[in-house]
Order: sequence, then C-alpha cells, then structure tokens
Amino acid sequence: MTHPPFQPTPPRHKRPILLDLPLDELMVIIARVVDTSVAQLANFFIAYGAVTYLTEESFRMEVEKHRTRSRTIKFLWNLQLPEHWLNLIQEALPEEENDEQQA
Amino acid sequence: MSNKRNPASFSGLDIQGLDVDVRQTLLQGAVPNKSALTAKQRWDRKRKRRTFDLNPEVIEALRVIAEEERISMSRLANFLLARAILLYFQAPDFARTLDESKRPVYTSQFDWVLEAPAVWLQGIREHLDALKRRKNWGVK
Repeated sequence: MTHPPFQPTPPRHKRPILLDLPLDELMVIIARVVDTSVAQLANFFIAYGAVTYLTEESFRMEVEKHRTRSRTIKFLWNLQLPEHWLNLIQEALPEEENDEQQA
Repeated sequence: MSNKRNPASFSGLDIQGLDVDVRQTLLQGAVPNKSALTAKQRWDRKRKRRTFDLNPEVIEALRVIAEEERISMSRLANFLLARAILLYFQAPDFARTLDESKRPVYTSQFDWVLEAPAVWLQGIREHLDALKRRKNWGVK
C-alpha cells in the first residue's frame, strides 16, 4: 500500500489574540444559529467593523461619541457600548435564546 | 479549582464518614477571602477572556484604530462586535453576506468555515497602508 505524498501543513493565516469579551454569551448564541465557531464569527464581525470604521466618517464619529474619560493611566478613553444597541439586540434575539440569556 | 488530593483522606485522616459539605470544604483547601481582594483582582475575576484566531489584517486594524482612538483593543473589539451583531439582526443584506461567506468544511467539529470576505481584508490593508504613509509609520 502506498502512502500519499507528504503535504506540508499550509501556513497559518490567522493569529491568536486574547481579548476581554463581555458579549461572549451573545456570540455563542449567534454562532450556534449561524452554525460556525465563535472565533470565526468574531473574525467576520470585527473585520466588518474595522472596514466600516476605516471607510465611514459617521461610524468614526459614533466611536468618538461613546468615548468616556478613562480613570486608568494605560488608556486615555473608555469606549462604552451604547445602551440602545444592547436593548435592540436583546429584542432581536430569538425568543428561546432571550429566555436563556435572562435565566 | 483542581483537586489532586485523595478524596478519601485529608492529612492522612480518613474523612469518608464525614458530612459531604464538610468533606468538600476540607478538600477545597483555603477559601479565598473575597473582601481582601484588590480592585484589580475583583475586576480580573469578572473578566471574560477568550483567545481568538483573527486575520493578521484584522488584528493590525484593531491595534492601529485603538492607538488612534487611545482606547483598549478589547473595548474597541466589543464595540465593533456589538455594531455587527446589531446589523446581523437588522440588515438582511449583512446576514446574506455572512451566509455567502460560509463554505462547507469536512471536519468533525463544524460543518462550515466562515471567512471574512477578501474585499474587506483588502480594504483594511489599503486603508492601513494609507494611514501608515500619512503618519510616516516607523520613522522616528
């Protein structure tokens, strides 16, 4: 029996990064709905957000609007998640997922 | 908390006959005094940290934008995520783009691989290059 020729592992295109993620539970729910992994979903969403920031002045203004002074010396600003976004997301969640979140 | 002790004995004593709660407390070891924790330790306990595999362009974009706005990368990532999540629910076009960016994969773990569209990554690269040129990046 002959073995297939050795195929070197393709180079890693992605790199690991450690992030704080309060939206973790929400991401898990959407990843389940979309049928993919949380990391891939995060990559997709953050890539979209980055493109939007880099190309749309209105989004850059939005980021600026939600900055508040940081009390740490490490960063000058904190970036708060807009409350109405979270409310809208909560309303848009599928019924059973919403119950799960509240539980 | 990992428990490497023999569950049947504690300091050589037979604890099998003890009350379940007492036995568990003994095996658990030192109970942390929550009121003695520093603010940083309390914050660290509440943090939800996760390692993500992201495209190098996306990581670079996070780094550059966070630097530009003088905020942390995590805060920025959360903001961008929240925006995209909202859009996922509100804009059918965005949800469609997401569906179109999935391709089947034959692993036991997932049925689909989701990749950020090449156009987006290309856009990020171009804009970051422009930013770096504007600021004479790396030139002191």
